[in-house]
This record gives sequence, C-alpha cells and structure tokens, in this order.
Amino acid sequence: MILLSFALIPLTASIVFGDLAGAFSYSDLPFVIAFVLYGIFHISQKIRSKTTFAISLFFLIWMGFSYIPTGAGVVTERIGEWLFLFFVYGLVQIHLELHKHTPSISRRDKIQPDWDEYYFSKVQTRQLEDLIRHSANHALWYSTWLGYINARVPLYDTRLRVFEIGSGLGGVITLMQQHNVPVTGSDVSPGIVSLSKRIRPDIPYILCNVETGIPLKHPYDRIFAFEVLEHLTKLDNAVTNIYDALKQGGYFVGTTPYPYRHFVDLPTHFNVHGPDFWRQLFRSSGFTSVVTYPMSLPPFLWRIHPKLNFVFPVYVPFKGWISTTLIIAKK
Amino acid sequence: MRKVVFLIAIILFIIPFFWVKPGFVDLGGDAGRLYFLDPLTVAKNLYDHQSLAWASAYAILPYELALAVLKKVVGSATTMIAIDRGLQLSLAFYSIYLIVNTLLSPAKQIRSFRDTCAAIVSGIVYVGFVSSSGWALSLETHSQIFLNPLIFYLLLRYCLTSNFIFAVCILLLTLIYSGNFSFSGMPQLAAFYPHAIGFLLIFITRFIRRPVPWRNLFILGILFVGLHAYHIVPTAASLLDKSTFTHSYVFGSQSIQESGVHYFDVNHETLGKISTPLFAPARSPQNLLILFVPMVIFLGLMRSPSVLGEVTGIFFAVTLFLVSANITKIGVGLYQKLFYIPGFMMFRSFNDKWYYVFAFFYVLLFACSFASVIKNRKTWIVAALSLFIIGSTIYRIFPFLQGKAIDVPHYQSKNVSPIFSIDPNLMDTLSVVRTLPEGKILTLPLTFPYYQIAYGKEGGAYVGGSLIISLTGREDYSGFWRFGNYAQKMFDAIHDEDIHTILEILSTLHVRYIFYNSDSRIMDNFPDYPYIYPGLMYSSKDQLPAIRDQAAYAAFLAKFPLKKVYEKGVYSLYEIEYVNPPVFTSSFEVPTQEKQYFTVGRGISIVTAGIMIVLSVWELIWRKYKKK
Repeated sequence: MILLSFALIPLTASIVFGDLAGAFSYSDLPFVIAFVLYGIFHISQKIRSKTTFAISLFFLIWMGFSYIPTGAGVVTERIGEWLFLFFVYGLVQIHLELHKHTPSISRRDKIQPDWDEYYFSKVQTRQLEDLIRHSANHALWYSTWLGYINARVPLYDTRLRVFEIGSGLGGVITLMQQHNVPVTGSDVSPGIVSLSKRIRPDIPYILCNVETGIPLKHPYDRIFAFEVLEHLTKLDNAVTNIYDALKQGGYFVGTTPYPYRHFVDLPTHFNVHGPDFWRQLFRSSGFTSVVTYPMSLPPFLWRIHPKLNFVFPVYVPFKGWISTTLIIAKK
Repeated sequence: MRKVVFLIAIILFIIPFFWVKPGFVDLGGDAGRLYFLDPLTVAKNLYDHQSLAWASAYAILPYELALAVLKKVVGSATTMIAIDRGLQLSLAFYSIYLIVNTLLSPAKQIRSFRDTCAAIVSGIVYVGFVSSSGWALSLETHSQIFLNPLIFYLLLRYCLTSNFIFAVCILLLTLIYSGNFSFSGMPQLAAFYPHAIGFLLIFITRFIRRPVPWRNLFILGILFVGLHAYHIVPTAASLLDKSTFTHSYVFGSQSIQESGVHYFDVNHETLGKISTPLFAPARSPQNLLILFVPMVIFLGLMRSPSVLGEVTGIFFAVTLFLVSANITKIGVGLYQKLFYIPGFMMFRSFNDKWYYVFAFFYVLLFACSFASVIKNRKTWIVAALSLFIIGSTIYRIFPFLQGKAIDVPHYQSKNVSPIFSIDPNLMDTLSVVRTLPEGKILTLPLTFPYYQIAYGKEGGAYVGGSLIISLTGREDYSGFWRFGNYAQKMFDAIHDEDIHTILEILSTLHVRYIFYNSDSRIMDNFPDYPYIYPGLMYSSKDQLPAIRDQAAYAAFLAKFPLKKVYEKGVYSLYEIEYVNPPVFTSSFEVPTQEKQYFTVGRGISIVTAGIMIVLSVWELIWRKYKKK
C-alpha cells in the first residue's frame, strides 16, 4: 500500500501535466510548483496525513477568498481542484495510517556491544585537551538543538533539576551548566564516566543503566535522553524508570531516530520506531501528555558556524542528515 | 437533550408559516404545483389523462390525494404549502440527527452528550446545505432533501432490526411522495441510492459486523416496484416504445450528442465551480461562515482520523467530483464520456442533480469530524463549539429562514414576485370553462413552451403550466410547443396575419374556445421570457407584430369570427364561429393500447398494496405471539 501511495505521485503528476498540456497558462504555474513541493514533502514525510490535510486547509481558506469580489478570488477555482486532489491524497494516507501495522524494528537478536569499546572507537583519543575540544564541539552542535526544544518546553530555568541519560562526552550537560541549570550527567559506559569526570569535574556524572534503574536522591524536573532510546533493549523498564525518577508535572525530553533504513541498520540500534510507537509507549507508561515533533539537522554546516545547524521540522530521508523524533512527555 | 431536538424540529416546522402572508401562495414554475389550490380536481384531471406522454406525471397522484385529505383539514393553500415546507425542513434535520446518532454509536441505547451534540449540529448544518437551491417554485422532486436521509435511516433500521414496520414506513413514504420516485425524479434517485446503499452495506458489514439481510432487501425491492407499478409500467412502456419522444430523448444518439455532450461542453465551466457546492448557497459576505464546516472536517481528520471518517470521506470525494464535474481536464473528459451511457444524460445539469447526495455525504463527513474534534473535550467546550457552529449556520442562512429564498422575481421579468393571492375573477372564469360544451381551448397570449401568466389580486403573478388543463381538465393550447407539428405553420400564419390558415389549424386541432387574458402587465412586465417563439432564442415579440402587445392582440382578435361567451375582469372567453365547424371531440383522446398499460400498472399496485397490508398484519401478530 505504501508503494501504491508513492505510485500516486507520478500518477497524479502525469494526470496534472496531461491536464495542463491541453492549455498551459500562467495561472497553472503556482499549482505545478505547489504540487512538486508537496511531492517532495510526501517523500520526506512518508505517511503524514496531517501535512496533507494542513495543505488542503490552506487551499480551502484560499478558496474562501473567492467570496471577496476583488483580488485573490480569480484563481481559486483551479486551487479548488488542487484542494480536491490533496484531499484524496489525505484519504489514501489516512487509510495507510489506520491500517498499517506498527513497524517491528525491535532487534532483540542483536548482541549488546561493549559500550566502552564502542565509545573509544569513536573518540580515538584519551588526551584531555582533545577530549575537552570534543566536548566543546558537542556543546556547539547541541546549542541549536536545545534552542529548538526550549521553544517547546522550558529547559534553561535555573530552578530546574535536570538529569541526562547517555551524556557521552557531555555536550548537553556543558550547555546546561553554561545556563546555570543544576544538571547530573550519566552514561552506561564506565570508561566514558571516568573520562567525563576528568573533562568536567564540577558536574555530577554517574554510571547509570536506565534499563535497571536511575539512582535517585530526589525526583527531577527534567530527564533528557538524546539519541539513547534506540540503543535500549528493555524499553518498558527504561520508560518506567524514567517515569519514577520524574517529579509530578516534570518532563521527559528525548530524541530518537526516525526509522529510515540507514538508521535501522546500525548495529547498535535495537529499537528504531516511528512517532506513533513512542507516543503509545510513553502514554501506556503513565505519562499524562506525550507530543512528538519531527526534527532534522543537515550535516557539516554546524562546523562553519553553530547557528547554521538549522533544525528542520520535517523528517528528511537522506543519509548524513540527523532525522529524529523529538519526544516531550509530561508526568 | 431529546426535548431540545424536538424543539428544534418544531421550530423548523413552524418557520415556513411566516414566509407568505395568509391568502398568498407561491405557485408556478415547471411543476406549476396547482394541486395546492385544488388537489382533488388536479388529481382527477391527471387520472383522466392516461397518455404515455404523461406517464411520469401520473406518479404524483397519491401525493395529490394526500393533499386533498389535508385540504379537508386545513382548508387553505397557504397553510398546505407551509406544512409541506415545514415537513421538509424539520424532517431533514431530524433524519440527519437520527442517522448521525446511529453512525456514531450504533450499539448504544443511551447516547452520550457529545454524540447528541454532534448529531444536532449536523442536522442544522444539513438544513444549511439544503437551503441553497430548489425553494423558489420548487419542483415535485424537491422533497428528496428530507426523503433521502429519512429513507436512508429507515433502511438502516430495517437492516439492523429486520422489523417489517420499517419497510412499510419506507413504502408508504415513497408512495405518498411518489413524484420523487418517478421518471422525473430519476436523476436524484440514481444519484443518491447507489451511493447511499453502498455506504449502508459497508457500514453494516464493516462497522456493525452483521450480515447484510439480502432477503429482506429483495422483498422490499419487489414491493417497491409493485407498489409503484401504476407509473413504472406506463413509463417503461413509453421508454421502450421507439415512437415516443422519451425513447428518442434517452436512447437517440443525436439527442445524446446535442442535449448531453454539447450541453455539457458549453455549460460545464460555468456550472461546475468546485467552490459552489462547498460554499453554497449565495455569494454574500456572511457566506464565508460556511468555511467552518470544511475546517471542522479537516481538523477532525487531522486530530484523530477514524475508519468511519475515512469511508465517509471517500463517498464525499466521489460526490464532490460528480457535483463539480470540473476537476482537471481529464476529469471533464471522463464525465463527458459518461454521456454515452444511455440515461446518463439526466446528469447533464450535474451541479443540481448530484447536489442532494453530495450534501448528504458532506454532512456525514462533518459529523464524523465534529465528533473527533469534541472527543475528550470538556462539556462546556463541546457546548460552546456546538452553539458556535449552529449560530454561524443560522446567521449564514438567515435570509433563507426569513423566506427570501422563495421570493425570487420571475425569470427575465421586471421584478415580478412569484408570491400572489389568487384573483377571484380568474377562478370564476375557470369555473365557467369547466361547464363549456365539448371542444378544446386556445389560451392567449401565446407563450413558449406552454406557460401561462396570470397576475394575482394584489400584485405578484403566476407563471407556470396551463391553469386550464390542471384546474378544469380541459385540454388547451397555451404555447407554441403545444401545437406540435403545427408550431411553425402557426407562427408563419400569425406573422402573415393569415386568419384563414389559423382557423384551419385551430379547426384541425378541435379548438372551439379562446381563453384570453387582456391584462397588459403580463406582456409589459415580461419583455422576454416566456414570449420566445419557435426557432428563436431571445425575445420574439418583435418577430410577430400582430401579437406584440395587448393592443395588437385586441386588434388581431377582432379579425376572427368570435362570439363572446363570458367576461370577468381581464379574462374573456370566446367561441370561434367556424363556417364549417368540425365535430368537436372530448378533451382527452387516449388510445386504448396506451390505456392498458395504466390498467395493468394500477392492478399490480393494488395487489402489492394488499400483500403489504397482509404482511404487516402478519408481522404484528407474529411479534405479539413471539413476545408471549
């Protein structure tokens, strides 16, 4: 059915272009552009009926202008035809959404890696100066990422108590510290924990496997887990432990890759799922409100300047891009 | 909440009573609707007129008889029209309310507050949709605005309960409103029922998970055909008879090309604006409020799409394509190809013919979406949203609720209102016509196709089918169309003021009397339509100076050998004094062969009615026995 849905794009495109071939006029041009954009959107979003209907809504409102005697109403009839086509797309996508099976990308057959070995193969150095530089780069890279999230849920409030799962070399905790937010870092790798303590001795950093529990002195206002959930095998345990460690009214904020093939195939990824799965998982674990957002970041640009690390609010299927689902779950 | 529903239904029923002043009526148009004035006489005349050419019109007999009974009770034509319209509005609302309630919670006996709100709002929104067309001089098939949802609901109940009483209700409704189930109502029938039944079957099998009661539906189908045989048999005979106009119109390739394909080619761009069905009824600023309806649909589908919403959406999309018939050039081409299917020509005015089914699925999709929007919302939010949609709909259709939809000036007239009170002079003259000896009547002034114009006592005018044929039962020639093959010859003779030829034609047609309306307003205030003569497209008055206006008519008539029989007000009756008078025959001459179709049809209908009564009684007894 998904293939069929993709087949609709060239099919409709050929219908439209065939249609236009009869008498091409300037007023048709915006529709062609809009449709091509939509086609790209459709490919990048996979099955996102909400986007389709949002576009339809735009066309609909535009059609409403046809009741204003002057101005935009001139082209609304053709727009109406496009509204119809988008509406039909939306129906197909609703059908696919309603009848699709939850993607099963849980890989219990994979063997858990040695996390120490995994990290050090990536870092390739134990020199303190290099590690500090690495950590500072991470912080730079995360700055727009956290800015994007901060617009949805407050992160930089100094009264908050924050716990981060899977801090690695500490990009996020460094940023939090720069904003004077009390934060505790953690990781499953003992080697990384000891390295991080050397890099940032002033930040609490503990060894923690979220699947078995979060050492708790007091409940937290925020628990972060950026690009961590996909590495876990016992998701139910992990989400329950997160829930228990949060204050009432506190937020879990995390990201996890969208199930594109190049993310699914990574050897350390055990659970790569779409947003529906995550919403359902967190809701069933007792969170009162769970929202997800698509989030994509382009490669390389952040090296020129951190501000070029744009966050695109869509899923982008290309390799090299970070295309992830932002999960914000309230206890 | 049930009290609120009844209150709304009653208010909707009462509203049309304020549309026209007591003693006034809005009659005329293609249907004429003169049965509101004297239903029994009109029914009797129709019954006597058993000709295949009139086979379709014959269907309306039970409705006229029902009106005759109503007339005995209420007496006034004004009240009868108001009751008819009140029923249309309130039953349209109530049927949608019942359908939406059943669709949203089919298994529940007690409906939730949210479902009830969704059902009420949908009912009002549907009334908003159906306010858009057909109210001015409404056609006999206009009752489909409430018959469609009501019969759908009864069918749904019949399929769910297998209770024969629902089938009886359906059959009785279709019988009383059989004009809507006749050949004239075929476009709306063929548009609505295939879609509605398809949706019904999907709903039963997919959502309620019950087997389709094919046996029950088959019995219902047979009883329907049997009960309506009195007009189906003659209509079928007229369709199959290659010599009839109906046959050549439906099956003739020239007719398909000219009246179907060509008509569509010329009109599809103006008629098929996709925004028209979505934003009906009129281009007024408050009409922008209708945007809330599709917006609710989008928000509902975005918030939590349901399988029911998806299925309804598919039917909505199909009907939106059909009602606009103008979606992409390929879509237009596809629709054009459909005309080559015999009978599809009935959908050439696609914007009208598909509108009823479109409005039905539009409102069902709205109901599903509105239910999604208000799901899990606080009670006050649900109530506020419902009141907002109801309020905006009422504000949008307020001119309609004030009765402005029926007070639309006559086509191409000088602002002449169709609302009038009957002129007693006209009625007196018509009663004299009834008593005249044998012979047919020529009605003057001549129009096209066969319309007659008569002013009311206090302004306003009737423009519609012949008053004489409907109210007196006498056959008349009221327009050039009625002359048939003699139309052009008559036109030429009038043009040349050739009295001899005119008398010759009239003698051949057994015309003995002339009914003349000398009211100057009926010509001066109607400069163009309906004075359009054979072979001409626009106002033809100048083409026939002899009958250009009333002064010309008076001078022209003075040249004929006439004897005045009766005069009252502007109405006069003359008898033509032929030199060699023909033998005047009775008003209606129907070949015996044609009569037999009517006899057979009536026989089948009566037998079916008998079977229906027996089955109903059996069902009641069986149910009582089962209970014991």
